[in-house]
Amino acid sequence: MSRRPDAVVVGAGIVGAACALALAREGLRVLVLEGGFAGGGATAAAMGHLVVMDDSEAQFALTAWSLRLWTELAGELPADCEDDPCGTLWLAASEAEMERVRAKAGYYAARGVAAEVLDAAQLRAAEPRLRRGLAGALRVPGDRVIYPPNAVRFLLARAAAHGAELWERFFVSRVAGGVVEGHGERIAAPLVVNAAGAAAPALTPGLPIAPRKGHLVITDRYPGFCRHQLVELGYLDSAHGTLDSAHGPRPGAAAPASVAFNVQPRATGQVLIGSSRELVGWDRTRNHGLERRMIGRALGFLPPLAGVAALRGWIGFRPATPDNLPLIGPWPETPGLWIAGGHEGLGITTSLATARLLADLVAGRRPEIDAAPFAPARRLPPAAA
Amino acid sequence: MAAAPIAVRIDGRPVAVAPGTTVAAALWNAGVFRCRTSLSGEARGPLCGMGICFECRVTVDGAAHRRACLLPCRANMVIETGKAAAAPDPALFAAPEAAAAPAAVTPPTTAVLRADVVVVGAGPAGLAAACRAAEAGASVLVIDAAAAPGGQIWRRAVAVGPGGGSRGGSKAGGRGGSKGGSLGASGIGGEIKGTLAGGPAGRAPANRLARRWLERFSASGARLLASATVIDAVTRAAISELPPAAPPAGPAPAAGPPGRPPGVTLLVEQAGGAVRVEARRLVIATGASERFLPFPGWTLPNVVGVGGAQALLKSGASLAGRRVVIAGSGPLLLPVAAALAKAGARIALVAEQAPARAVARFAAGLWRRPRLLAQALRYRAAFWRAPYRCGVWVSGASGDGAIPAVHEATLTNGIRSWRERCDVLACAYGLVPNLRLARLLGCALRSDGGGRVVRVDGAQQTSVPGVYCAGEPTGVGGVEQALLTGQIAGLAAAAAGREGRELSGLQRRRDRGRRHAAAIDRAFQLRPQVRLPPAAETLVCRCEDVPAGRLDAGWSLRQAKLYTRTGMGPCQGRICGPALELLFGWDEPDPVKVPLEPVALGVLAEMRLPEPFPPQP
Repeated sequence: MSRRPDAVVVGAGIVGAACALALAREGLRVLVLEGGFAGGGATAAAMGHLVVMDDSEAQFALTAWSLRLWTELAGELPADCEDDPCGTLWLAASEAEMERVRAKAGYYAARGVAAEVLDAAQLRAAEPRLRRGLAGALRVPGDRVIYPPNAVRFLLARAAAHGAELWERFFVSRVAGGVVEGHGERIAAPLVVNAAGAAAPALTPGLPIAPRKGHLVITDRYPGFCRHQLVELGYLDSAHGTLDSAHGPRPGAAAPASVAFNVQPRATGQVLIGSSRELVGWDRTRNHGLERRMIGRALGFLPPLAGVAALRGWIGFRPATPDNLPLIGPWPETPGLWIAGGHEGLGITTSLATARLLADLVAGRRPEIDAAPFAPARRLPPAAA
Repeated sequence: MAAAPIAVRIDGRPVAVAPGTTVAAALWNAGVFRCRTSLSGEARGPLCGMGICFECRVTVDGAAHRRACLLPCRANMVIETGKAAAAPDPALFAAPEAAAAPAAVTPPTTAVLRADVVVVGAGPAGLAAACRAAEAGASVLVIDAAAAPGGQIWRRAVAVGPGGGSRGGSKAGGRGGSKGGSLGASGIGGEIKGTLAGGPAGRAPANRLARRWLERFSASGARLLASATVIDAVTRAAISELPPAAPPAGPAPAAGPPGRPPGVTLLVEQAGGAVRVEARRLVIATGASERFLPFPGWTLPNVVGVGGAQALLKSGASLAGRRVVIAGSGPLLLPVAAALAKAGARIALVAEQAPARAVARFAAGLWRRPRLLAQALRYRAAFWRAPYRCGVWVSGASGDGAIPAVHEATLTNGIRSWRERCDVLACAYGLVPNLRLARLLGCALRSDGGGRVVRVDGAQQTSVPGVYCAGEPTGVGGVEQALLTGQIAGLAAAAAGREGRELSGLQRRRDRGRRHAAAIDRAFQLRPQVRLPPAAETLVCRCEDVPAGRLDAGWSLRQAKLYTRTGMGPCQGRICGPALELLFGWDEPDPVKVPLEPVALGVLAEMRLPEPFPPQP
């Protein structure tokens, strides 16, 4: 290419890859610039749970749309994407939580997403290794699991078939209106998309995105150990409870750290164990205590995990926003600059719908869902200095 | 001593084995060469013989993924082989109770041990460090994965009596059988399960040097935490910087409590329990493992390492009458050929890849070290019937279809190739130092003749204050060098800079030894032909069955891992990593991931660091 692309996408994570494909499909000549290698950032650290989330109406709309897109794509994904339509079980520990399960089921059904309520006995039959005494669960059969790094490669290969180009190990140092700089090069493009994940604010100061650290641990292979992504119903409280929207994300601030039970059967037969959340900036130090708490929580729900061999633990950084919704659309302060970022822990799920939404807005079409809640210029609590 | 045989069941068949025999050796002796079935359906058996490669995994008493080479046979053990650790089997999803069962675990307890000097590894370097530190008056604790001291090189240099093995008991609370020594009171708080053995008093060592050091170790007052695996390690400085798991109640304390001594906390698994070891100073003596390079057929059962063959022999495998080809590179080929020949193996050929010229020049240089020369000649005499060919290497191996094992090796000298009938092909290309613990602690590395080793100062101290390193991780140099560097590290760690003249004498000998090690490196440099990436269909990663053709030379190791699962299996790249470094120039930029060894989640959950914050009033 051409130092004259129509669009430059900064970042080849799952969101950047999906945007590159969507824009290339619009007929634009797309150049993707990636400081490391494709899928090597938060995408590589992610669980790859494709999940419909009812945290807010807007989030439900975006995740449900994206799940439809992933499901349409499923037949085309190569085997190394490890697509597995395992569904999600939202676990209720008590009768009070079962009330929430039933309300959740109604909410999903009203919006056309299949969900069924399992009582205690049905839950036991579905997942016999869960601890006794759980009240039941909500089963969302349309949820899936994929292996994100290879999904990125698949999306980029598709984009390449539409003429897109990927430059890896190209570190972008500056993004301005209509131009991207890095490695002593100036690349002019009418459209620039900042999809740099948690690193996005470094290129676009003022973006209300902060890294939110998470720990994960994976086991050896125990095929059939569990069959659904298993998540405690209290997950949302933990997932978003710590990012106080009245104060905004505070990079580096000592925010309370939280853990939630979130366990995934990998297509390999491995069991992937999450999750933890803490706002400590880019501190890569392992938080031993938090990781142990996370494992302890998993053992509480799945006692036979105690005898399962852990192979490896790692950490990653989610790009978090103050209102837990991503930023998708034009950045008003810089004409020609668009944002696709701040997806927190849902970047893999929402990447495809994010890209569609972005492409619709770029093309001037009316998108399938309301774009206003995702507008980067929406009223947000200011990020602390 | 002729102890009564132990009865075990192998795939339903009753088998009697000699006490002290490992499961891997028992399988070998019973003619069962397939320990596991790989992801692509291949039969696999032991490769390294020392717990690194994870190829010999079997199901023992219902628990999946047990390493046969590490596990001594116990009475009535039920061993099942050939199970596939395959991608999900739809049948398993239909009948979840049939899924691979994890080991049963009872709630573990966490013990805390403290010592002035903690040594990781009870091979020559570790024993030497422990002896010197203990003799200088320090309290010393040695941690080793094996049931008895000696490391790989002196494994079974001391005869193991009945009950001598307690390695990695499959059940929590399964007490180690070793009776040696007891928990000394001074300097140790808390209780631990399993073996805390003293020296091997009363046993008869075969190797004089080994006996000398093992006896010295026994008398030194140093203690041994045997059958114990280091899972995680953190420097004290790092602990005080850790964020709290939960926000501390009350006002935030000032950073880093004053007066905290420098040191390292190790989190250790032993007999299904968690042990926390607090070290004022740490000596890393984690040794080395063999370098394997992929060739067509290298995944066949009975294709083993050179040291791997010796390890199998020492763990009770019978090689009598077996036809063996030994190949690869380095001085290790000779003692292994000698040992196998003494054990009744028929050595068909010893093939050294280095050119005859280089080996001859090296041998000529040995006149300055007559003891080594005499030793080399003794080894050669032990297998005098077999040819020792230089400039010859293995280009392939094949089975005959009847049994899942190697039947023929293809050898080449670059001009012509020929086949050699064999029951065992032992092939490895020198040693790779085990740097995992050092790298986890952030010790700086330096490059050393193509590979990387831990950078140390004159007193064997690493870039991390209070952390010392000795033996192979500081540069592959053999037993003598390990003993010298170990002694220096032990003296320095115990005396913290007040070591005196004795130290400088050891240092002079160490530096001489380094020149010898460099000469070995030069003589046995790997020729370009063995460093070529293998054919596209040859597997590179044996855990995940990744063929070379799926890798792109333009990638990094991390890309290969993320895109193809290379190095993501249970061995965590310990076999393919060093090969890929050589074949593609990929090295590991990331810090080592925890756990350092696979560990049950129930044990991991109990592994706690000391609270970085002082207790609230």
